[in-house]
Amino acid sequence: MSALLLPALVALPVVGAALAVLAGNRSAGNRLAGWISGGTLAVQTLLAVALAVRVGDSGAGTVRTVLGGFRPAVGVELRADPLAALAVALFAVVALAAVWYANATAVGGKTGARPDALLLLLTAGLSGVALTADLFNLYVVLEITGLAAYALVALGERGSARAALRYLVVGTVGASLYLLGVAYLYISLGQLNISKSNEFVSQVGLSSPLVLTAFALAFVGLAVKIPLVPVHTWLPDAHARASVPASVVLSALVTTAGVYAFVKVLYGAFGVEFLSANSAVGPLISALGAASLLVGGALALRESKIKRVLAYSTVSQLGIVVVGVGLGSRVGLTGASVHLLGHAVTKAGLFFAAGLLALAADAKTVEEYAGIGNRAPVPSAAFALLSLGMIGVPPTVGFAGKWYVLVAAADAGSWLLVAAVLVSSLLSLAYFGRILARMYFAPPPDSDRAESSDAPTGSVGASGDSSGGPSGTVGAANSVRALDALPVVAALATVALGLSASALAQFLEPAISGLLA
Amino acid sequence: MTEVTSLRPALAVLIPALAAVAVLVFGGRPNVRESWTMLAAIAELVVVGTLAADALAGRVPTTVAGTFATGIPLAVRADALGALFASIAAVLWVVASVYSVGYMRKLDEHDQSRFFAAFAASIASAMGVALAANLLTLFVAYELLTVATYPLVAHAGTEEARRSGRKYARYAFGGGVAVLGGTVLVYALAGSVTFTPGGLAALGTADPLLAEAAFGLLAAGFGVKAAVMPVHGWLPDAMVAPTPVSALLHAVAVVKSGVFGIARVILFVFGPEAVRDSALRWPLAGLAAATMILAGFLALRQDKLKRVLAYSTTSQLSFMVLGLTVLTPTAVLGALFHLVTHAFMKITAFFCAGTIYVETEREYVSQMAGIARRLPATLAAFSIAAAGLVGVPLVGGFVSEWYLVLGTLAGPIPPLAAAFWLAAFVKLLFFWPIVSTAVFEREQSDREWTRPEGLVSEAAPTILGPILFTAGVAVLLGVVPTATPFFELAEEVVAEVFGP
Repeated sequence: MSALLLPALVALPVVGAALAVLAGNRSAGNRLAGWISGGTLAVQTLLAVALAVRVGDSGAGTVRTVLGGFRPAVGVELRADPLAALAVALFAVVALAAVWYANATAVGGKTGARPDALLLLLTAGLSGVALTADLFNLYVVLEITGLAAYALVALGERGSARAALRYLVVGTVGASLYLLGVAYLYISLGQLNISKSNEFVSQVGLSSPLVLTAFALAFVGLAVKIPLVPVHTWLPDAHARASVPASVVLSALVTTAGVYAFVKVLYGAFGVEFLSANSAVGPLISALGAASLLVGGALALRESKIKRVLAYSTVSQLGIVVVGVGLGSRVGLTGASVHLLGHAVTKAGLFFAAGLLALAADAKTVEEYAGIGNRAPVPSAAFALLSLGMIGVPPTVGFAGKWYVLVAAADAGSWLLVAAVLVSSLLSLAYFGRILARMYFAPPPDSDRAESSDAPTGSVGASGDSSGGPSGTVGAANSVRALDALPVVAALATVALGLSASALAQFLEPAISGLLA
Repeated sequence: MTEVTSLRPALAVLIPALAAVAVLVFGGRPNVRESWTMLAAIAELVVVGTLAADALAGRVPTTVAGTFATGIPLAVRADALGALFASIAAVLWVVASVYSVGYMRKLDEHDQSRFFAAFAASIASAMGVALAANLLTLFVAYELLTVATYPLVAHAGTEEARRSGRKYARYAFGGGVAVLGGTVLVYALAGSVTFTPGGLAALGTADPLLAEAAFGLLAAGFGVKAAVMPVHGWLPDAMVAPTPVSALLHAVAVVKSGVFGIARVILFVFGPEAVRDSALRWPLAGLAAATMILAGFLALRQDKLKRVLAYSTTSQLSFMVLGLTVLTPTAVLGALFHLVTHAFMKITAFFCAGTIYVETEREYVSQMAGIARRLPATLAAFSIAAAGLVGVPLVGGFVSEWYLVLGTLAGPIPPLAAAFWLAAFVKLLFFWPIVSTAVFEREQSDREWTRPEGLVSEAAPTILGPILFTAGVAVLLGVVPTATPFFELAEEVVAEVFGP
């Protein structure tokens, strides 16, 4: 049974995706595909929890399976440490929520492709990223993730095809660069197992040109996937033009998997000794993280569409994670992991809340959010709480992750990084603050209390597609209202995770030790 | 001083937090909603009362609610300083609750549920600030205090209110980021952020430049809420909030959490020894002294009564900051006792300003002529408060300012005591015209107000009662200061930090 657990976590969503296609993926009214994907992901969630329990129990904190029984240097190994188990569980839960959202908002009668199968395929790829212990295999699962993601973006609103094409081109270039890096590494090491590469790298020479070239290629390739400034430009379009469930999985999960893949390559394959031998690499990574942090925050300030603000906020928040990764200390990696998880939960909740607010009040821009707090109180309250989490107001998990990264930066004496993280808090306060202030303290654009400066936006809101609202039956309206639970649960989860950050750090301890070994 | 495990400190934070939830749940039924507020305020007073009694008996009730990030405990405890601040807030919450029910209903304000919920949440955060056992827990509460008070500033929803709200959020969160930076530095340098009487020993041996940076960041961050110039600009604008908010939060809970933070940093994080050697000590003292005097002159130029009071608050808060930086035991005692006396005097003054607005819809000093004939008891209370703020004997302000001056004269730079005198004199200059206009001038308007048949016309009892109570306490603090638990608590803090 336990030998099958790890392969099952990758294979199950693939099987589910195939079944969902067979069940009639093209017709929006078909509930069967929805039930199949939901059921698959529910089982996937249970398996992921079982894995987390097993990993927590086992002394060394890892569960391994070698596929086909070949020796690891030849065969493909799957390996789960607490970090991987947590990531798999996160992927399953958020994907399940996205499937629910997609099915509940699919208004009967409309035709169009459904995202169920793609979401399942994406989950398979993401789980693969978390579980694989093989560098080439990592490329394969990253590409599965990527292909599903490109298609998901293309299902979105107007202009999404163009965004998807751009995403596809940039993503494929990134993946190819990574593959090239893996090839160089294979030439120098003769094997591709991540945990074994470590020793081989030190035998070949930590600073040998071949190893450095391999690292540079893999790093640039993965930087596109994460994404880091300056190769982030594909993200806002892709994330903002996709449909809501797609935005959720892209912003919360795909980016998370990108960072996780990078951590695996950097610490798993190249190892801490590589970092200490090439003392410029760690600071370079942190510096790029800091740049993402500041540039992402500054760009978010200029956006007027809520989903684009959230997308740039993703760039900014991932910057904090990468700062922690580059610091290379125990505290730094703990902070990166906590913040990565926290960001995923928070951002998923924010995109759900934004989607529900767009449904309930037809509000999609910062201006249109004026006075929305009274019109759609539940999603608004969740949005407000989640924004506070993203700003890093304690006791949310957003603060906990930031605190670890700050302490790590201070321990390393990197005062510029400390300052960058602190400044980014102010930036996120600025771009979320202006939204929150409008939501609760500005008169709605079309009300009598509207001031002259707000008047032009009123007409935009009113002339928007009035047919976009839930015009279906009472049942459809109820099923949409039940979705309010998604952002609310996410909001409560950010507080719960924030309060249990120490326990989380303790759970992740074996994984962090493994990475730093 | 022995620590005892107790749930009461956590309860002191949770009661107002739960009250906020109850207020939102029962938002549709105002009487039930207000009952919850009153019930919570009274329960809070009882709990905090027992905490203060424990602190005076040398016991420190402590609740460890868990471990926060990097193994720092999320803990609340009621030592003497914490109990001092908590008991001021608890006593005044009861009073302010009565007053705000009367005030908000009389004005028929909108969004009252949001108002009362945010009010209770602010008290919960202030309790968290007061009882935090370490710098990180204090930071958590300090940030939540900003979040909880923001809706109160922006309450009116007008362009002016939203602008003031934005300004407040900018200043307060900016200060929060500075506090966070300082906290990270302290943790990196000392490996601990737990409040220790006399300071963390490890900070004394740390890199002096970094320690100075940490002190600077913390002082600047807490200085924002303490409205030390040049980061005081949010306070006068925040007066756009409903008067009960200005009274309890922007004269007591919020601004004093800033002063309290500075007290914690000086007395319990760096310790008097380290701060005496700090290069930033005298610049901070200089800013405080300048604020005391300049804010007074700015108050002279204001016509809106609440803005006058706001600048007066700005000035008074720096009395405490200066006392804390002078760092003689007497000056610290004076500063801590001034925390108490100023709270009672200023809340009285704000309540009176609110009453005048509710009863006559006047908020400018120039419109105050003849008000005393209409609201004699209110004006009497206002005069007591103003006298106390100026430093007239027999009101609390005199006692605390007396200690501040004595402590400063005994300190390294005795001439600084002149700043207290000068600031008090300027206060006389702007309080006297208010009182004299209200009492001695006749109303100019043609529709002269005539006394109805009854004996005394006054505000409703829910509005007048709180005013008379706080004014009474202010006098009590001036006549028998040493008999009050507040004074004993302040003495206890000084004994803890400086030794018996």
